[in-house]
Amino acid sequence: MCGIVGAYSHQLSAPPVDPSALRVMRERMTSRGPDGAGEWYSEDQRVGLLHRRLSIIDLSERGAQPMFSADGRLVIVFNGEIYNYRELRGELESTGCVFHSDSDTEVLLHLYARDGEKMLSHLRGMFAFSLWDALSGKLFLARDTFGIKPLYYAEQHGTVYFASQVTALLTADIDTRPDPAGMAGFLLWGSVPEPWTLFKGIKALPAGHFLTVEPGRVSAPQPFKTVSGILRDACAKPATCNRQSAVREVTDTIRDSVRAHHIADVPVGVFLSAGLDSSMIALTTASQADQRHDLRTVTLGFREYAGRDGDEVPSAEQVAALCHSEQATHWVEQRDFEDDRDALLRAMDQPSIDGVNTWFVSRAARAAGLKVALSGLGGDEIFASYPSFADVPKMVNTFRFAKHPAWFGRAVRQISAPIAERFSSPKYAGLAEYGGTLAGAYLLRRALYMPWELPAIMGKAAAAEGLEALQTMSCLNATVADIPVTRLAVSALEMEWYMRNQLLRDADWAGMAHSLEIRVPFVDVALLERVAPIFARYPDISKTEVARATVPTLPESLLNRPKTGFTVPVRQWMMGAATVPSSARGLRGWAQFCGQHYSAANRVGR
Amino acid sequence: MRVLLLTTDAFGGHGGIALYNRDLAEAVAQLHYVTEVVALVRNMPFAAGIIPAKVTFVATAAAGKWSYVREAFKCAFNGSFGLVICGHINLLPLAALIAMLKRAPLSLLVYGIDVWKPAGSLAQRALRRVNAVWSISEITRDQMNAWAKLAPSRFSILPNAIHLDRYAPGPKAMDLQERFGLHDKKVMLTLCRLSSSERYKGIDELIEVMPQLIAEVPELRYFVAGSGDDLPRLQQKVIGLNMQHHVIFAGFVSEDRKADYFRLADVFAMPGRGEGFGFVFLEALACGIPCVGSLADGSREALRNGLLGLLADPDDRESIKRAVLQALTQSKAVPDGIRYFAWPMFLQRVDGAIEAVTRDS
Repeated sequence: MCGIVGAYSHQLSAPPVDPSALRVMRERMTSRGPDGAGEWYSEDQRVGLLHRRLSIIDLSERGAQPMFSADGRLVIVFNGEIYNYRELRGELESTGCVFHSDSDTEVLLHLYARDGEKMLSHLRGMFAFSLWDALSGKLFLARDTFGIKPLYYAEQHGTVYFASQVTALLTADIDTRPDPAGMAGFLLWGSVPEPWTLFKGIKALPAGHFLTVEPGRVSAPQPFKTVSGILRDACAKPATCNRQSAVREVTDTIRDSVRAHHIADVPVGVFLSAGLDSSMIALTTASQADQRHDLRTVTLGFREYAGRDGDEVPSAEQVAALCHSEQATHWVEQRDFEDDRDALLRAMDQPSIDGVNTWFVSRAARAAGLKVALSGLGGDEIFASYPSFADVPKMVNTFRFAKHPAWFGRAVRQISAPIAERFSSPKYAGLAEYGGTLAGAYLLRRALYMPWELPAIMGKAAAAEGLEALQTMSCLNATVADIPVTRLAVSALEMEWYMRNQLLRDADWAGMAHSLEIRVPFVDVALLERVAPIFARYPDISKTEVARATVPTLPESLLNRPKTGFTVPVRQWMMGAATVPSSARGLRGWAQFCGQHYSAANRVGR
Repeated sequence: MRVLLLTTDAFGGHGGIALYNRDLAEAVAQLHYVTEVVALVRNMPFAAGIIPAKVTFVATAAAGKWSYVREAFKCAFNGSFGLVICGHINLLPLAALIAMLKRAPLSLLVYGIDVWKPAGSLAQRALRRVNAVWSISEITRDQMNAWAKLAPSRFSILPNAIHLDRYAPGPKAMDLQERFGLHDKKVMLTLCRLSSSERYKGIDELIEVMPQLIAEVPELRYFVAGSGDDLPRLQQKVIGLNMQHHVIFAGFVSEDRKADYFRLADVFAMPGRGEGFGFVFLEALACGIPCVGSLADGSREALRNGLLGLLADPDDRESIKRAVLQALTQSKAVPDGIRYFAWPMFLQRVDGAIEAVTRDS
């Protein structure tokens, strides 16, 4: 977890970059990197790269950034971790490369010098970086395949700016007019779908893409490896092994990913909720001899649930005991939320209806002295344990008949919408219109508001502009295109939409606010590339089966425990002081409150 | 290198385009590698004024359309040119022909509503000959490119320049306060042409919001400076709203007193829809006056997306009211960020734009 920011005045007519403005942008991200700050400017002042550091690998000054190649040609600022950096370094050293630090950052410099843009296919990790090549006059921006690390960019008057956070870019001279696409997306999903933001001038670099800025020219983002691409390939070439071997391969892959995600020069903890995902990570860590001795686990307990069915703590502590970990249980209650609510809202880089649980568990981890924690985020997506994996295909089978003609579904919705809204969820009105395809059924399953509801909230013109730009159905269809295995198609939807736009974003801002790096062993390219062909061949392999094989010491009572995650009595807490329309059910009201609060609160100095 | 500047208005002209072209000619002439700038204008209602060094001003071109064409060809065939700058899209067919004959790169200047709608077919064909388009703002670039469909790399953004030494904060002029009854009053100023073809300036909206503003700030006066054929309609509008004691029309403002008019103001507001840039905002800021511009036009860029002033939605009266009230609470000071538009930066931009167009061609 670090923060990067920079600018390149690529057009000759653009003025030089403004160091003081860039420093202001960098200092907006101090909590991302409290351990140090660095900056570099080209001699002609047309390029500036700045960095805030959270020291995790190579804690010495040699790991500081911006970092330079030995010949001075390349300069990089990097946020993330390259988990296979030691193997890559070995390869590079064998060809004569000389290293001056023990950091993964330096590996990126050498790789780029050798392979240019093709370097990205070698990387295993989470990353967002910007690399300046003085020889070609090119600025290279890249972001990991899952979008674990954020990277935003904007252009104004011939200068491109980039930063790890939208709120950092808001202090620059860029177009910050509200973007109806961003707001419409937020109301649809409860988070702002990439590449949109709430601001017209700011876009996210899409996950698994890079872009280049050269004199007079900014390239469109180019894909190097995408999640749906990996899943498509897996369907095209499913595994050929028998089921027993398949499960063993999945188990080995999980162990490999957990081991890889422990690479650090500081202690690494584990968020432990007693769900299968975090239990697998904790117990796998414990079984790996080299990690066992300093394993720390952190659990969040809610006073409202203490001693009742929803209480995670006893099960989590049971797993912690099996791990022989140093367990820290942190209790929160409504008063803690009310005390933290304003800080939490301010910390959200973009509005989100979730993230409260991650905020508190990150705070607890930092209070326990941790800088890095592993999370089970991504387990539901890859092991198909969300209800959506059953609900979405079922909906498609039920409503397939209603797909054609298109006017039929619309007509049913228009007639039934007032009734559905009055007596149940407005979404029921959309079953005929949307339920017959995977994309539409997923939207119905996950959406907070449906598209036809937005004009009443946003205004007709803004909603129309936003929805036209979003092209939601086209984008959802593109996600699942050519993925014939339903399990993997739903995985693609969950990974590229809910996980990317909601869970990973929440993990970033909530972890960052507490200077905590959250790592996600189940969100790993090497893992996905190995297990996806197996699930293409055996789509019925369940998480329970995988957990039983991976962590055989986990008791059956915990294997079969109903899914809870870090369940938080959020709705009651969030609605405590919100002023929302009475028609806004549950999280919808929080979303409207959140959207309004964000728009007012984050207009920095304007 | 010699540069040929074909424009509609510059020396001896009045208004934003004339001012911009005077600055451009002077900036180009200051570049060390430029030996001469030959400048022609179509319109010259006033005396030319001081012509900068290395600028050859061909005043006889302003005698009429055919005089202009004749003088343009005469200049063109009198030596070589390293660059032809076309100062208005209406002149593009002529400029393109000359650039082609002289085998020189061609840059086109665009400002605002001159290119927000598609140009005529002759000008559109001539666009193919253009090597670079120099736009005063991104909004003008985007509006133009919605129909022109040029490669984005062909555009450079060259916003207006402000000579900070020609403006400064200062006390309110006693004679103007006396003349317009502005003692002990808070003053919201708009300074612009009051032309019926330019009703996009936001004056109507500000008049309509005045009743709400004076409910919060009873001593507020809306001071509209400028003249034009739309004045009678605006005066009627004020009477219709019973705001005649709160809205004052000042009439024509001469250049030599412009800064005094700015200094009378506690806020300068022009939340319109059609400014290509809004140089007047830079003038107000250079006098230390808080500004309210618009989210919907080039004034957003003049105010650097809100860094230098407030931005209102011209379609939302509440947004305008909030912005004006907030601006009235701000103290008067020249913001540091205005240096982004200062003369040295303009010189750098012009230098870079010329380097880009001569290199690429």
